[in-house]
Amino acid sequence: MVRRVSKEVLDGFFSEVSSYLPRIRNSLGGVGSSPPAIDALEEAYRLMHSIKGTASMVDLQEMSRVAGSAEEVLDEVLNGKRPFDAKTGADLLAATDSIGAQIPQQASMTYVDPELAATITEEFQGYLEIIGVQLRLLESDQTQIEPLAKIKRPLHTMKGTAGIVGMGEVSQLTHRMEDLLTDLDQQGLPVSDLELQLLFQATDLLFDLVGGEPITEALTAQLEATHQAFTEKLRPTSATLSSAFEEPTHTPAAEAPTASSPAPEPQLISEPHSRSESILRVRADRLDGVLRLMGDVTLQRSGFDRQVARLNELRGELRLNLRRLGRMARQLTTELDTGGLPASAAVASTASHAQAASEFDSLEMDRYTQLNLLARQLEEAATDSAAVGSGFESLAREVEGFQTRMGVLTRDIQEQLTQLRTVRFSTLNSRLHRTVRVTAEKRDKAVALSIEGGEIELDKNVLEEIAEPMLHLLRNAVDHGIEPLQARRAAGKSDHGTIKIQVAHQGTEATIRVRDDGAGLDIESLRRTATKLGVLTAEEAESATPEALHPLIFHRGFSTAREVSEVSGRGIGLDVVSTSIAQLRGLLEIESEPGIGTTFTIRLPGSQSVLRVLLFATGGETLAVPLTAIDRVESVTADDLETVNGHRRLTTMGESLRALETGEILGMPQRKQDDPSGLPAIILELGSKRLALLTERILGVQEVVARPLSEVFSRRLFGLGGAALTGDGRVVLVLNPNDLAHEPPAATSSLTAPTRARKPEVLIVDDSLSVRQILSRLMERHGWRTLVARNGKDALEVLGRAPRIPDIAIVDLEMPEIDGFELTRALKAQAIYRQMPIVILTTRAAEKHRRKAFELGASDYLIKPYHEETLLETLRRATDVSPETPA
Amino acid sequence: MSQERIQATEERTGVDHDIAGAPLPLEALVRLLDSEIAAVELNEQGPDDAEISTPELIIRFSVGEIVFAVTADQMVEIESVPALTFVPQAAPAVCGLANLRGEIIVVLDLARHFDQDGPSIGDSTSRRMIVVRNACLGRPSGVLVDRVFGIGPLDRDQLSPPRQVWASPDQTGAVLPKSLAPFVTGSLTVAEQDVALIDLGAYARSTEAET
Repeated sequence: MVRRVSKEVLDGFFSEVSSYLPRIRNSLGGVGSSPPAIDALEEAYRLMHSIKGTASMVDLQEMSRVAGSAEEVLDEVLNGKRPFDAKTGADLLAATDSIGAQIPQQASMTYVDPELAATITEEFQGYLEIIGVQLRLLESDQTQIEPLAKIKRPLHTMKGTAGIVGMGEVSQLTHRMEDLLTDLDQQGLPVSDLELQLLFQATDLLFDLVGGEPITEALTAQLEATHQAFTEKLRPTSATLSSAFEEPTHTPAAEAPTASSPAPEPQLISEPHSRSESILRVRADRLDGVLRLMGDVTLQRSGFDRQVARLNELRGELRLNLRRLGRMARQLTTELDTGGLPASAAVASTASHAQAASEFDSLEMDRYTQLNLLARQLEEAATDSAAVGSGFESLAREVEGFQTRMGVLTRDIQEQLTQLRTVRFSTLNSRLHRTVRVTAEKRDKAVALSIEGGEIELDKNVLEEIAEPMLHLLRNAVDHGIEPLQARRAAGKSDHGTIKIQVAHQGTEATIRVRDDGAGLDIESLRRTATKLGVLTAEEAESATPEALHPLIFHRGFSTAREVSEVSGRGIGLDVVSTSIAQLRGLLEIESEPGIGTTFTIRLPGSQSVLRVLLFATGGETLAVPLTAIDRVESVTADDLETVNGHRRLTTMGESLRALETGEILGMPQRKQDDPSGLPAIILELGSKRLALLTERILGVQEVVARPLSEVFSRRLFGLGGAALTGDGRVVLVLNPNDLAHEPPAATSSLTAPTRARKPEVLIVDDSLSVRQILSRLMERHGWRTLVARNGKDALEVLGRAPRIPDIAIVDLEMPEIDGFELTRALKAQAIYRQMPIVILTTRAAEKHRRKAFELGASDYLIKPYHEETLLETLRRATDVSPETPA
Repeated sequence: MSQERIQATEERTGVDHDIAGAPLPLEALVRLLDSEIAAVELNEQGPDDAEISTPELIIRFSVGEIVFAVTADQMVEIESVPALTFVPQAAPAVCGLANLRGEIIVVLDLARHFDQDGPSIGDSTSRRMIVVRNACLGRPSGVLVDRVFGIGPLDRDQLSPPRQVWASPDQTGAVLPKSLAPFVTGSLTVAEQDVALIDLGAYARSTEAET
């Protein structure tokens, strides 16, 4: 019969059956062991039934038949018609094996529940690390017996688990390793180099299999070769060993299940030794989800902070107005009572029938009492309002208290959550050791790797990202750093090269040092290459100090190796390592001493998601820089700056720093140079480097949730690390300070694009809350961004904080503290605001006011009540005629 | 109907008749759209309508002198132009980053492909941001256009190959910028007007990849 079942369906079916078989075996128990429990048999029955049905559906009649007869036997056992004796058990196991035999090999690897797979991968990697450590111990002294036992235990556990989840290759390979170990153990032989190598090789393979490497041909070939090697290794040593494939061995490891029925011990899953610590495995994406949510909470909180600030503002105004109301009500009552204000006059001036009433006023007792009554009621209402007001006040204070406590709490949660995501550096150890070992073998060098500070914890994502660059550095160190044996002997060094990895915390940073005791960088070769590639002129190359030449090896196309080696391959070089680290917002540094060795230092910033940043303005835009990179902020003047060799330098507090125009280095519109007063400079401290960022204005510190820019743009943007949302929902770019320690790529300046498509901004200055509100709404409706201020003094403060100068200001004349005239005068006196048009909007219609306003530099003069269209038209005209920002 | 779909539908503008009119406030667009949808639904129920499938819909918009159309399934919604954060060193068509309900998106401006300066945001209330799906990046992208006109069914039989010169709304010829040519997949005539069918998804992906 032609099989018309699609391959996918078949594969799926085989995977499913593969996952059933270990469960069936488990339910049936080992042959000869006590009869299994009823519910275990029921499960076996159910699974067999299921296999029978599905196998028939996918047209695997033979499998269906076998499963069917097993099902029948189980049915009889369950109904008490047949005892579950050794023979029944053996028959059922045979049937199970027969079904297993009908499953094509590769399918046995495919089925792993993805959720389970993640846990298992992690668990297995843990075991493999233990195995790696023990193998290295064994390598140092091959007569030791102890490591053998320590390797066997995790191997055994892995074998069992792999069998259960259907990782056939892993199960087989671990089985082979176990056999070899048992053999060695029994015979008490010192481990030969060949055997050790085989074990290393198998461990490496297991790493690949467990790590979810795709099963490539190369891997399959390697797997086969290893199996072959095992077979050869195992065959001649002892006849008893080969029997391990047929019947249980009677060694101390006798509990090892046989190959034909790898029924795991019940405690295999429940008790690998690492489980004795109470550890909860959580999927990384779930944790990331919580972290993201927490990030959003932080963001909401800063929105809440702004609302509370606004509440406080309103609270102030309410208090003022209530006091005013109370005073007026009291005054009115007093005046009426003392006769200072004749009730009649009051009536006369307010009543609509003033004329008619005037004749009777002294006799109008009714009106008199009514007015007095009104005044009393007003006073009462004022008193009531004051009470409500003070209730509101205390509520607002409480809200403020909550806000503070919430702030502390969220920060704490954030910190603890961030810690949850950290993993020990040592989880990388095995891969690092393996790389050094493999590379050293290929290059025929003897190299020892030591790792210090493996207990330091790093963000899991960072650790994953750092793995490849680390491996690259190690390959590079073995390949080019450590000299060949002769050279080492000639230099009087030990035969063994040493590579030392030191992991340490420095403040919020983590540093990873990779130090080799090789020959150091070949300075002459660097000079030649620099000249050849045109990076430096011949004179520059000649005069450059070794320290200045070292970082050149991070340039693309640099190679100090005379020949391309197959190991570290020169096509991709250290420039790639440097780039990957820069993408993590880290910094890669190099030190080298001829004949002593080379040290690479990786500096990684702390937690990634929530950053405390300093917001500052430059080129009309708001930018942020992480606080961790900042040493201090200070005000500098033109006198502190000088230009040396085309570089700006800042001399401050006795040190001379490279000074960067932030806008210029990022390729942003140029900042104005005409500011006479001091400018804020941000002094950055980046590892061993210090430099100054010249900015226009400092806007304050905020907590932001930053997303790496690499998630947004595929090309790297020099100097920029991420984009973040501020509390008010604006997007700001976050600098990557470590980038700034390098020169910008030459192309940066040519990429400068003009700033466009920005909302115009208007500053509204008026002492009336309602005018401010009405005007803001109107302007926002017409596409403006608005800033508001309560009076002239407030306006100056608002302007001081604003990221950029508004396009125009609407100013009232009569205001407390600093009035409209004074504000206009003050603004026109400052160079940076001189270009900002000021439109006066007032109730004063007199010509002398108008003239004065224009004399002071106002662009226009409008009288309240204004006509919306006129106002908008005036603003449009004023902003259009105003010149563009001066160059 | 998914939420996205509803939003997309809400923003589709049923204003074939309003090509030369004054800038349309969003509310008016929505109103017109509602009537349009109602009309489409009515047609679908008509006895002559043998087709069970809903017609493929296109949204027409203009940039510079050219009227474009994008198929409705490519877009998520139409928004007014958001506050933009300038990104230095980015490709010229990138006009900044914006906050779309807590998500940071890249906003591109089609007008920047045309020689003349695009209208500035302040005085052009008709400018809109079309939010385009971007499966590759796992988040949407924004594309700024000068005006959004209307929604209509796409008749694939009517599609002819793309051209170089297009009749602009004032019936003079307009040249398609070279940088946009790869994304124009066909031309059609709607209400006696030349319309360039553009693949905004591909445009956004490829333009963002340059950056």
